[in-house]
Amino acid sequence: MSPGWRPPWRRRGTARPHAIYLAIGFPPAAKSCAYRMRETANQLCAAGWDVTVVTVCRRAWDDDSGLDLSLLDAVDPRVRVVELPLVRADLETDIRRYSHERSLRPRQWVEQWRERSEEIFPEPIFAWWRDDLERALLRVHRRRPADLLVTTCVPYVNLAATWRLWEEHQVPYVVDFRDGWSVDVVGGGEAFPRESVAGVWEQRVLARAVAVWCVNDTIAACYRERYPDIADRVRVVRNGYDADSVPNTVRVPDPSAGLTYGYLGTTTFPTETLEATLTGWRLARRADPLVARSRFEVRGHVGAAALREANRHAQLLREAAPHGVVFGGPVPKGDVAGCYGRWDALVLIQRGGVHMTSGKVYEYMAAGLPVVSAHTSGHGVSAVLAGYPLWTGETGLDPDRLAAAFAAAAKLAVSVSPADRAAAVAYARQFARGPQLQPAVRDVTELVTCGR
Amino acid sequence: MRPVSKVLLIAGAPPAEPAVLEHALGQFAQRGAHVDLACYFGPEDAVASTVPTLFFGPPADHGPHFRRTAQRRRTKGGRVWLYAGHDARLRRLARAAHVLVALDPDAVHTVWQFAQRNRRADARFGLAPALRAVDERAARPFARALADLCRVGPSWAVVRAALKRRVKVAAVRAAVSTAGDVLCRGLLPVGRLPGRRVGSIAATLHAELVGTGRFDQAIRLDEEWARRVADPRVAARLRCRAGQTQLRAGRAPRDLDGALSAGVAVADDLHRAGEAGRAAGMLVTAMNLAFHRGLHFDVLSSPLAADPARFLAPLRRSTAMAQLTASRGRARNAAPLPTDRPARLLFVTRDNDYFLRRVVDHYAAEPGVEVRFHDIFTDEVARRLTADPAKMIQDVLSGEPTAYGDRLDEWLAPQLAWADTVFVDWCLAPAAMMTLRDPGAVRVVVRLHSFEAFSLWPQIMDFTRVDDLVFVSDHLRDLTLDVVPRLRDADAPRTWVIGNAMDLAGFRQPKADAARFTLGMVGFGSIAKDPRWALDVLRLVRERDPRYRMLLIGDAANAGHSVAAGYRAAFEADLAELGRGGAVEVLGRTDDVVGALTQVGVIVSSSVRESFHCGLVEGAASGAVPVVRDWPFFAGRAHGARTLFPQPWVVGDPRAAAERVLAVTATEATWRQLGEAASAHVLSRWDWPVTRREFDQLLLGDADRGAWPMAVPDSRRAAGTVEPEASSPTR
Repeated sequence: MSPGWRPPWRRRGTARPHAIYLAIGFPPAAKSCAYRMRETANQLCAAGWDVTVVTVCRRAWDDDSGLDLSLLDAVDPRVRVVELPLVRADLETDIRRYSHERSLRPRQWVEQWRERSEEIFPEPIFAWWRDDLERALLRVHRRRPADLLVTTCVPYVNLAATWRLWEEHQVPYVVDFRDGWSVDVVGGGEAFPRESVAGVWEQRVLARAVAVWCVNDTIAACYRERYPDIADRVRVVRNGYDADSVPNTVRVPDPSAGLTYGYLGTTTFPTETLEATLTGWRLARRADPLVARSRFEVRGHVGAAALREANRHAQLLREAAPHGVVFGGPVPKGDVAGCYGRWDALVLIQRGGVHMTSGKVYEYMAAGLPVVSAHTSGHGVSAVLAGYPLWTGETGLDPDRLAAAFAAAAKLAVSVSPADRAAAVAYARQFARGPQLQPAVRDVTELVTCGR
Repeated sequence: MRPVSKVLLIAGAPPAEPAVLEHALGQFAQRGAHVDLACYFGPEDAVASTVPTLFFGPPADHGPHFRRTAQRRRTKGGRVWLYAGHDARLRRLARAAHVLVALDPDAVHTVWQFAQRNRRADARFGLAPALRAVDERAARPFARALADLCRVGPSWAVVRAALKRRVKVAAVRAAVSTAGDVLCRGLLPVGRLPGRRVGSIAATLHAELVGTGRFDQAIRLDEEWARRVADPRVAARLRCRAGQTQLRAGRAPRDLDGALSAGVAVADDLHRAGEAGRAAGMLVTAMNLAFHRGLHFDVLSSPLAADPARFLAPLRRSTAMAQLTASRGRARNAAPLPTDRPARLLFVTRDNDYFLRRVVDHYAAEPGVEVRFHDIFTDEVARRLTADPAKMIQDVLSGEPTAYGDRLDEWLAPQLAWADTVFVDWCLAPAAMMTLRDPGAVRVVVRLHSFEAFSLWPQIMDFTRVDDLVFVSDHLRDLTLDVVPRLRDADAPRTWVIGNAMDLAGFRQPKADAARFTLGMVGFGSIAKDPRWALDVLRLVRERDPRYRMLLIGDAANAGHSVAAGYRAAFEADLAELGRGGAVEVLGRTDDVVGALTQVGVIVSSSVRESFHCGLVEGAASGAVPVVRDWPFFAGRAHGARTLFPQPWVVGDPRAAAERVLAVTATEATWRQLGEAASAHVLSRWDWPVTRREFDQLLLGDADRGAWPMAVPDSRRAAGTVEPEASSPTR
């Protein structure tokens, strides 16, 4: 918190208020959203709240994104975590848990299960959690009445539980919408109309929200335009990077031994994007002797459940092994800084378009390394990277242009001066996660607790 | 020393990602696991693997029983298990395995089955979960060994499930035995039990009774419990099911009107109570009875065709149906076709493009027209959207957004955004689905062939969102307008009558002299074709001249329900009797109808109902002289066979038909002359160059693409009163 600022109740000498944080994906889930959730919980604690995090049990992540226990190290010890015994049935890989019917038609079973779920709430898969989430919030509130609920989506079914708590107990709430719901961040445009079931839900819940947070300006603009009545409550809270992800030391490249390019993140992008990137990489190796001596290390989660590390992405990566591509699996949060510290240049592979910014771009910049962009032209990250001096520029997904970008990054990596690198890191510093969240948490705290 | 984990990988299909499998095999090796691979495919598709590989599949020496069993397995997973379970080598490997792994969805059921028999093994779907299972075993070897000791033999759950199944089967069998029947029907306190419980017990008993062929008992059970159960919803369901069972048994329902009224009344109550989903379900239950094929298709008459108003009275009294069929209209009229770009035609059907293909091909080759063809059946999303009429009804009745509606909007929006005109062939689920939403400026054309008029779909559609409704004959239009009176309202669609798109010229082939004495039928598989009527004609003709014979072209009749089975048995007896003397030849299905028709001198239409009868028209085009029964469904009405075809072609009964056969084939010259005249007539009326102009008029309108034609001149649909064989033949 900013120095000098004191929460209203401390000024008045009243007890600490209670905030419920509905955050499915909270550590130790090894999901990219876990970092933002961890920081949000810590910030709420720092702002004087007693925080109860409601999330799902650890087993739920076994077949999803996996677990990263190192993420728990930096969670404020005052945060209380309630884990609900909810798992995604569609990701189940233990065949002993299957019914006879499901074992016979696994794909159709999942399809029907998803379809049925939409009768409960307009979100496939997670809709089944609605009752449990609603009951859980009411139970937590019964044990200790909440003064604030912070709900972060996905999943959007959290909105149903949020609304239930509001309807029954008028607990004020913040919706941390991140990428939004009615904004199609991948395909662009509107994900669903206002008159649809999802549209009605979104409208209803946002109308009463104390604040609505989004991760970038374009998404926030969409919401302000769609719901003019709440425009003043929509706020951009960028993802930012975590200080513990930044390498302490910078590796000195060894051109004679070749460089190491790195990609770190979950592979949610289409296979075509990966294919274009790998083709660009092969072309660069053919054209540039330095790249030819280099390797490209891909780290992160690939696929889920039965297809974990066994989908088309994994196949493409394994096939590219003779061309210096190494797939090394996920990296625990505690090793992220070390991972960046072993690399000479970074490859930012992204899906989606103008609405997408991701959290990785901030972390990449904070590492102070040259960045090759592999995503569509006009992508949201381009606006963020525009001021970063070690960016090789936007190339789209044309393999020849990507090859040129790989070569340019190699040149940058071996030629960059300490001063240039310091300038790059300085540019990135504005995107540290803490300062992104701090004012938003402070304002909500003021707003909600000033009347206590 | 670490114990070695035995891993059995089972693949139901060649691996999609072989490099991934290869890499995983390396990881298993690093962990010291012993891996066996079992593949339900041949060695030619195998991956280069370093592990022992077993290929399994259909045994070369399996007998007919095994083959039948395999054919009954409708899922690939079930078939894979059938062969895996019969492979002794694979069973041995599965018994010894510590980790059973399905590599793809087709192998999951096999692993599930093996896991029931080897309770010690972990059963996993996917390579990464399997590797994790191996790691977990290695991490806690003693705990696992101890746990494995406790897992000998089948699990209690498995035993309990088997026991429960057997007890239930025994109880149900006892209950439906003769003594049990009395107990069940008379002594069970049905009136005091909760409705849901009564419904559930009745369903179990009903299934057992029907499964063992005791239809009477099943019907009695439903009818009696319907009288005694307190819950009107359950009572209505039981009454409707009793009606359906009677139809399955080949009888007319004892109280069809009562069952329909009960179902509709419950639907109305539910609708009033705001339970749109349940109301929709009940309406569909009632309509499934009302439009059961046993009432309208597999029989020689239909109460709907005989008196639509009386038959549909219960539905027309319904308040839920009133809301369902209320005009929702559209915000704007369909826009004229654009003049600055090609017209975009979207053709939609569901799994049957037989009558559409010619039309689609024509417009696909037409400059100035862009065509898209969408078979709903091949589109997973659309197939599901059109699978359940209750979802559509609920979408209308609920009056608020539904999950179904959202999925529909998502699917429909891009179709409507692209098309200028949507042509939906068959007035079935896709057409009903289209009318759930306002099509905006897009013109919607629906074609109704025949059987759709006897289905629930036109009853639940909002025709104010259809611009043009196309029929293939006037009598079908008349019937449909009677069945759906809304089609006579001011906001109803324009109606058109355009024959099926057929290339008839190709059927004109030389006929041998012997063809003169051959009567032919193209298509005789359904009861509506009433081939026994044609055989009666043949008998009468042969009484006078034994040179006459009959050639039956097409698929044989399906058994259908009991009435159909009875008809089929009688028909087969006829065939056996006439076939002994060589009087009837069944050619069966053939791709060469043109060639088969060269043997036919007289083409017969013996149907009780037809919308158009393409087979007859093709026969006439070939030069065979037509003999057409005055289709009883439409006889005596304003339009029917007598107005569709020249009067002399049409006869009232077998005797008149026989007289006509003898007259038109009296001499070779007469027969050939009349055949030529018939051919010339159908080519001039229904050959593709003629119908194409009518389709152009329908779909492209005037050449300058101005306004749509507002009406079809009656003269174009004038019945065939002009006699192509006006000069009376003489014997």
